[in-house]
Amino acid sequence: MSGTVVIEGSASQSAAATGRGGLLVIHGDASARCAISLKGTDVVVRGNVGHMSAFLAQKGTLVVCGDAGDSLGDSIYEARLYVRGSVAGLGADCIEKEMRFEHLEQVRELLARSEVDADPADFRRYGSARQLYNFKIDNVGAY
Amino acid sequence: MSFVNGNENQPGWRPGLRESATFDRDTIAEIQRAAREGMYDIRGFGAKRPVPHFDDLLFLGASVSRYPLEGYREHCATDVTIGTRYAREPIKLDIPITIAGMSFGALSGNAKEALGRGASEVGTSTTTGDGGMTEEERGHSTRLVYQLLPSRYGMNPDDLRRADAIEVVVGQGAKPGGGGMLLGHKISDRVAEMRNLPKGIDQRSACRHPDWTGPDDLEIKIDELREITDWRIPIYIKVGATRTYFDVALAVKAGADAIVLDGMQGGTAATQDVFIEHVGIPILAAIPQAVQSLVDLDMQREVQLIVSGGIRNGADVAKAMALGADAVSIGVAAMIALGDNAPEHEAGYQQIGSSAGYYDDWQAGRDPAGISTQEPELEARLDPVEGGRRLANYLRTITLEAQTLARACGKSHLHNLEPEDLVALTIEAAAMARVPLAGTSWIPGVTGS
Repeated sequence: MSGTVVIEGSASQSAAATGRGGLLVIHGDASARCAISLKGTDVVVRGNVGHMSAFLAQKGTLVVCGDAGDSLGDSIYEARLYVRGSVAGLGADCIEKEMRFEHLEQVRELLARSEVDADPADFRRYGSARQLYNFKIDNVGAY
Repeated sequence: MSFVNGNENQPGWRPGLRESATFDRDTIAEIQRAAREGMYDIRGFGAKRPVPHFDDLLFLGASVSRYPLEGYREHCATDVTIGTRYAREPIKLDIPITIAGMSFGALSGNAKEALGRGASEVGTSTTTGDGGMTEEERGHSTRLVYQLLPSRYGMNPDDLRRADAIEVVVGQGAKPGGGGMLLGHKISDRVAEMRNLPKGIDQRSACRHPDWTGPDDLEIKIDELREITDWRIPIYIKVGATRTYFDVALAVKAGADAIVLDGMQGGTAATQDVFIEHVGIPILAAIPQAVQSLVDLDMQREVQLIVSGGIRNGADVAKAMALGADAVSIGVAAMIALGDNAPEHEAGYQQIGSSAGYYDDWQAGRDPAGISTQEPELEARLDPVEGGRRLANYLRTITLEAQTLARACGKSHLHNLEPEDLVALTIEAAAMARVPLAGTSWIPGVTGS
């Protein structure tokens, strides 16, 4: 709900699953499904995240300073994703979005709170295309 | 050769017209609907197909070899305590009939309040659902079970501590292995806020928990819940009826205080019809598996078994308990007691293409009875005080029915009912319930012949 959790090493799968608030800092890598069903927590990963990270993420932020695995942000709702390195692939309904000033400021603030040294300008932003918010038979190929 | 298919009295029939048993009119209509709409049918309610059920069992009653208790004078107790294995404060119920989990979102706030009022009036528990705990149900439920579901909508540690028990939902009888979908038109501002999602979008409920994937992980999760609640309240694990023997064993191993076992007839707010009708097993077939699992682990009565899925009357309650359940749970029947499918709403049902007795479009949010809706003008039709009174009346009635049957079997407590009190009317029911076919000593699969 609130507060900060810092992991000095790496995290196994589903770190911060359904987290509703606070800040989670992972100074190593995070395995698959990091930030799954996220509901408000801010997550900062100094290393890489595994496949299906931010699956069904509703609210909150995932900042990845390394690379992201396949199907990042699959079926994402309103969570914000920032990745500095490469993204192996985006999941259904997840698209790259413009990195505006407000987003640079958000990344800068989260990196500072996490004591991670990185340039916000190096990050790219991803989020929901909002095309799967209501079921349409024409989108059946995405399921 | 004559083929009589039972349609001779149907409108439109005349000699020479013969309906296919394989492609009957319902099947033809569904094919035509699918071709027209390009979408599977989503509905509420539970399985509608006929399956072996409690109606296929009979009580033997007392005679010379057993003596009965006096129906209106001798006491037949109904109380049950859930959570005696680990919880410091187990739930004590006056009757062994609980209200199953139903979400705020699927149901209106008035409906949740009415469920709490009715359950509390007769000394039993009600249960939250996929969407969190509302003040209506917390405020009007003396005993409230808080569900921890895969979606975690509305889940927070503060409400965990306000609960009287926690129910970790692994599966549901109507859709074991499946998640759910609350369609966008039921997502009001309040529902959206509780679920951390925008208003008006379809809200998917996940089919499995995001932070554990097996019984070893589940054990850790349960420890986490115990720490949050200081080992004070019971933790149930709910499973849909499928591979019941093993699921119950694993739930016990993971640390459950109680098992909630939901058969395929159990209701749902919104699921694909094909899922409701074709996945899971009848509760009749599941109870003996669960009991055997508990017996094999020497945990019968220490880990309580609560069964649901098609409980309608006191006979069902008594039969479920005779097979080994410690308590039962009702969902569809509770909604009907509140007023669902009531004839006085017939005009409203007709307007939306249904009729009292058939209505199952609980997912649509247009419920004329004001129960499965979020529209204020419809919700206002359900008076929570009156609804609660109807539910309490119904719960009292089926409790009395169960007591009547227990006394006839010579039992001074519903828990004293046993499989020996039962026989089956069909071979299928005998095999599933593991009681003899009436008039014989034959239990298919158990005894020789």
